[in-house]
Amino acid sequence: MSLIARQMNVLIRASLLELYRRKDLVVVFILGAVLLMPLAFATPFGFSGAHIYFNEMALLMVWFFSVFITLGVSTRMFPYEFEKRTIYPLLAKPVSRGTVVLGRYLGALSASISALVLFYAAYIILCGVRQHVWFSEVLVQAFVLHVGLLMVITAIGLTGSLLLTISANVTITLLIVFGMLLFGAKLPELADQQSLAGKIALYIAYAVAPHTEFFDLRQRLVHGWPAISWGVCAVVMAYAAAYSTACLFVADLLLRRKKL
Amino acid sequence: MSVIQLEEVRKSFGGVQAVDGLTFEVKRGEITGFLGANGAGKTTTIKMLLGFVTPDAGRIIVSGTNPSAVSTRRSIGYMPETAWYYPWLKVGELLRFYGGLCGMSRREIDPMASTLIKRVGLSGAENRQLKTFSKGMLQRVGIAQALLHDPEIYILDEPFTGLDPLARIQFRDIMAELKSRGRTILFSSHELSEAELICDNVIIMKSGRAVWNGSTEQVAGDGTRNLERVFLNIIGSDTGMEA
Amino acid sequence: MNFAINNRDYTLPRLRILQTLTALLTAVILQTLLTFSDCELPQREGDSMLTLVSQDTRMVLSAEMMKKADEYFHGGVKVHNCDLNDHAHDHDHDHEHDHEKDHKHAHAHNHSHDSEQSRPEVGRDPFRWINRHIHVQEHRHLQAARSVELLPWVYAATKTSPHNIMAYESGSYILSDMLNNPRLAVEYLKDGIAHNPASVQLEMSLGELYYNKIKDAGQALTHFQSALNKSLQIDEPDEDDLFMRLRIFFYLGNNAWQNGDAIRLRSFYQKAFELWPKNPMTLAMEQWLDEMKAGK
Ligand SMILES: Nc1ncnc2c1ncn2[C@@H]1O[C@H](COP(=O)(O)OP(=O)(O)OP(=O)(O)O)[C@@H](O)[C@H]1O
Ligand SMILES: [Mg+2]
Repeated sequence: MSLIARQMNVLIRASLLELYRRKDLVVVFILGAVLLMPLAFATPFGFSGAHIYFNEMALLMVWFFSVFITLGVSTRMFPYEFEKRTIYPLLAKPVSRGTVVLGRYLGALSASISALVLFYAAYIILCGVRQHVWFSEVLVQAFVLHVGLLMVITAIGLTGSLLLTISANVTITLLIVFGMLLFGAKLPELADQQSLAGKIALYIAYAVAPHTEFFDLRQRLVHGWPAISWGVCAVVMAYAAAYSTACLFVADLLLRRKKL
Repeated sequence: MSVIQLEEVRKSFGGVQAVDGLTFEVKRGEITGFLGANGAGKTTTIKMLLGFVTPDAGRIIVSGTNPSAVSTRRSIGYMPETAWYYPWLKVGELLRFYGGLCGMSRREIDPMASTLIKRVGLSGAENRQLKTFSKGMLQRVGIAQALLHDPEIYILDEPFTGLDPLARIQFRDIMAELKSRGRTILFSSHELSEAELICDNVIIMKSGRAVWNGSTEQVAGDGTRNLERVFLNIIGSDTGMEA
Repeated sequence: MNFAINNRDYTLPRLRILQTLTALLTAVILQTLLTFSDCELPQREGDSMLTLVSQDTRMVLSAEMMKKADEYFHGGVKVHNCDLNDHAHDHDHDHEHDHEKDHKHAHAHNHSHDSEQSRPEVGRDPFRWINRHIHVQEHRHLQAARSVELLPWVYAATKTSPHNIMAYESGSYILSDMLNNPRLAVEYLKDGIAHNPASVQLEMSLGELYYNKIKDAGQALTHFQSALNKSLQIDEPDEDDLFMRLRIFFYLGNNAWQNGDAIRLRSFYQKAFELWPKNPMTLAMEQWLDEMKAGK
């Protein structure tokens, strides 16, 4: 194994260990169970055949919790290193700051994806037990694009954590992620209703802000619409990769300039 | 042959001149004590030696190269002044983490780690997460991680702080053993007696300058002087505490 | 079909921004959970901590839930430019006197399929291209048999705010027409009337349900009569109230006609004529009167 590969390996392992030792996931699963249980057994008007509402709520929780876990992992890393001064023994090892950024990113991402796998497994089991439908192409695509979303969120969270305090970073990232999810596609239309300055600002946001709405296949999955083409999936994943890479370059720059 | 070399190094933070024209060198295979009052600039100097901080002026050479190069740190074992290590890891996992960063394989790390854990007196605590460790135990963890990849040069920031008397003796033994294998050690300390016992040389810093730089024999040279007296002579000269 | 809240009864602020707040989403989830867990919502101030969720907020949440039901009906797609309230009005005023079609919700799905027609061109915008592939660009209508999917939201909507009259209306339509269970619809409307004793509309819908679906003219008559009484108690009836009153006269007149009671039919016709002489319903009553005269 090359030096870089070994370094990545330990950075990723450390993040995974952190996530599972911190027990955030346990809390999230208990919360999810508490929220979903009453829904699972609801029989409004005595009819028990309704599934969409449950699938939607369960998927909404998968979304909330995965974003929550991802932000928790990615925004904490560097502030913790600085606050607890573990950055010194870390950087005293023969490891470049670029490697540290990339390793921390991949670590946070693997931790988030591992949690996502658990969430989707829970989703598949919950919905499968109710509906006896266990697999669909859209489900696979939804998962793949969700991974893309986590790539972007992790990159933003990590980069933001080198600039802002944890709470400011989490707040801003959440606003961006959910703001774009709701309005990202409508920004050009919104821009056209603005005066010149507003128009320019919104178009810049449209170009620069992360298009989290690209990763949202919930509607197709929950309401049983057909799968999208895998070519489009690939384009969206390429977007996620490009966006994350750009963020990581900024993060690398920020870490290099960071006063130790 | 010198492995650490500083020439007229300066560093200021805002209005504070932390290091002010510092010049010294550390020879291979020697143990050098780095002394000075609080705020004298020891930690700042050490950070510059590791490339964490870039000097405003002057020249620093570590192991023949620029300290900010990644490869330089391959030959350095560093122990920070105060460190909490990742609290959710166990000591073995932490050593694997740092070992991996040094490019070591699991096969290289594991035997080394178990030896070190014994050596720094942490046997029995292997299965506890570091968040349950006491200050002195963490200090021992710090020693272990600095020794892990068996580097040429050790740069230790106040390694004796927080260690109990037994651990101090053990650590002195470790240092002596390292020296016997030709390793170079530079450590900062406030423990003058410790320094006197094990150092070949001492550097005393005051307001960012090296005001005393000489061998321990020189200190003990005329029989009446000991390191404490020398230290107080230099440092206490403007506090009325002259010996 | 579309479900939304009646503007006449409740002035809803355009709270789209609320949707952006995760807080609201959490509130919706919590609220839904509370309602599904059959927890009785407080009816009076000071009942429990839930009174913190004020009446207005509950109405807004309830309306959001009905929007959700509407979305579900369209395959999870928000159908734009299909303003429900306008729709309902058009519907009311163009009333055919065909009983089957007379149901409030029988307006066919004639909303403008705008998303298909006037969506902006992709042009050279790659982001728009992606979005059009990711997000469903057309909508469809839920099969009647699957309309059970709408029930959780309707149920939650009226549990959240028992004053959401439109939700009761829509719910009873789903139960009676889409799921073919008019008995459940009757129960539901009665629950709605219990919570909204002054609502002419709910009383009227119950009457129509008995009249058109259950074919129980006796029960229907009781509720039409009750609806008329409630309608007459409105101090300053507006156009919608008067139109509702016209429909009551129409039904009562129809009942008289079926029973061959020319005197009652004439009295209802006269009242209808005073309200709205040129309305197709008034004209239909006039025609029945003529038929009865000719028959005699
Ligand atoms: N990041 C920084 N920003 C501002 N001032 C700093 C910074 N780091 C160090 N200083 C200042 O530089 C001077 C030297 O600090 P340094 O930490 O090197 O002292 P030291 O000799 O290690 O002291 P001690 O024995 O207490 O550890 C002090 O006045 C300190 O306040
Ligand atoms: Mg210091």
